[in-house]
Amino acid sequence: MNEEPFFVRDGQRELFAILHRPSGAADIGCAIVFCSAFAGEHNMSRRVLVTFARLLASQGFHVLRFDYSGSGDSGGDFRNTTIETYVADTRLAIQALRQRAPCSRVGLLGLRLGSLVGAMTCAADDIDFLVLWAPVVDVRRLFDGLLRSCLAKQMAYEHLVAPNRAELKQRLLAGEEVNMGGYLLTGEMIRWADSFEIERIAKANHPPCFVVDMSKTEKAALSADARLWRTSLQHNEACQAVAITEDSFWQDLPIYRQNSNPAFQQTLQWLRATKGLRLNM
Amino acid sequence: MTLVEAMPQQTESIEKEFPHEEAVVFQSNGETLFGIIHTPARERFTRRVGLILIPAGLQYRIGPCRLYVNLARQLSEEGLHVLRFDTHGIGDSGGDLGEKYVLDLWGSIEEGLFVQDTLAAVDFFVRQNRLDTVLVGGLCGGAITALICATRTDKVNGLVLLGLPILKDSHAAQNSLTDDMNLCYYGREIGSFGAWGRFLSGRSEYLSIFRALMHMLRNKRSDPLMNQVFLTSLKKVSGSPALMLLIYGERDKYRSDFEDRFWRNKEYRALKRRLRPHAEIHVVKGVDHAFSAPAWQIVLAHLISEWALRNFERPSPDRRTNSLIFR
Repeated sequence: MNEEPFFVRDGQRELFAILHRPSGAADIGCAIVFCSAFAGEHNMSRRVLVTFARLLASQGFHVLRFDYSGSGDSGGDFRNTTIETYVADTRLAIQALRQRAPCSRVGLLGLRLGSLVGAMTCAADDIDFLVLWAPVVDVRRLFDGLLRSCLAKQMAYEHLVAPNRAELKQRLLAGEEVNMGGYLLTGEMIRWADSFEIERIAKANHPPCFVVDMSKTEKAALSADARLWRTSLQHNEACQAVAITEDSFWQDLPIYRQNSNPAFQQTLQWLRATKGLRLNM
Repeated sequence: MTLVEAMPQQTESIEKEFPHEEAVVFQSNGETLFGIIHTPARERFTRRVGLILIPAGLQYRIGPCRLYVNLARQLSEEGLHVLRFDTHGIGDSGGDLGEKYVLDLWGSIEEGLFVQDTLAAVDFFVRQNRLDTVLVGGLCGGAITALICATRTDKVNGLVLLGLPILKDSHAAQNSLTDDMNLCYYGREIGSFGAWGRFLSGRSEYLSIFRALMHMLRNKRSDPLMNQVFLTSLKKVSGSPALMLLIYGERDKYRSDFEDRFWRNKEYRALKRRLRPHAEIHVVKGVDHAFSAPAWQIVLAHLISEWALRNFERPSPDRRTNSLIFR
């Protein structure tokens, strides 16, 4: 393994990052920065992203994985983070990558909420391509799901009589913090989720983009979220979307997941086939 | 066992100015393991005391609810050296655990799957930070791993066991429970003519009967779900000089397992007596299994650092753990 862990420091911010350098294949001059999922989903999906980073490194890519402020090994308080701080973190990570591994092309891979972070970063930074895994569009639904799962766990394991989701949201909007599996959620995130519109992102001039829609059951059609992504990015001819059968490896599953071969293979295939990227793999 | 009040939810951040943190790698069984060392900005202990936090089950080095990150930062501010690391197949470490049932992997962890990696972490951390005293611990699977680890080396001076599971967690354990239930059933049926009639006329579930009998012959324990590795390790540790700090959240299911199946069980009276000079047990009021709220994590860090200071700063018999209030 040729992996270099380091901290990116910028004023008050201190991000933990790991740079995977090409190993076992020639450097193809291309780097990918991973924008991870949100809160607990980040923890659950970490190993799959580590495996994919190692696979990409074995194909000649540089890969940078980093933790957002308030998450993982980075500094900061989760309560002070917003989607804007995630975008700022991503830009700082890209800057650190460019200093350490000069590459002619830099792409982003976003998982779940990280897809939005990646897409928003594209609007502000010079990015050559974007890969979106199980992208979230309906952010309200994401937060509703996270709150529901947190309440269900409390009720099942601790027999707590918990308030319902609507009450929790009211409390959040009134300024209280809600402990969402160890991450203290604030009203700021909920307000952002309520006002979010995918069209705002779609207006940005996106680079070639690959959407990997993941569903537990085998199906040919894309999910509503993936369709929205495709529609939003339809002005971009280099945008493609595929549906694959895959468990939600960012959630608690009965099987310990370390890889996602369908997502890995589809993504590698797209990277190889997209001519605009000019990758000599 | 003492009941500790958890502080009310507080809003101030437990994130302080970034302390000295360093990413490290070391070897175990041919695999590269990854970790983060927190070195105190200034030494408060006259001896160098280090704590190794072992992954909780299959959660990587940050711990569930980022518990290990917050604990390590808090404890290093209080003068302890801390190593958080990923065992093989987890987080950023090398190795492959295979795609198995989580329940079965938990069962393997409870029988020592990560002990070798922890022993390697002990050797590495002692060398790297020139430690005088080594404590190992963790939450849940990390706690049971620490307990087993202390039976395999005399380098461990203390154990910090959080939410320690004492029962088995695996499909095999579930099967064992089924066999035990079958044994009870067939035991009751043994005096029934109808049952003998079914048995002699080929209408019985012979496989279930055979498995129940084998289970009886193999296993004369009173509690089929009790993790025997936990019991044998506890016995060994109670005869060693290692000290033990055991902390549960009041709302933790494992706390009730521990109290109901072990602490109040007369069968283990002698073992409990042997443990008393070594162990300090706390239950933190209103707290869950993973100490999920940052305010609870502050209480926890305080309990750990206070215990470490009392027992390892200037070790003398009168300052050691022996003044417990047992329920």
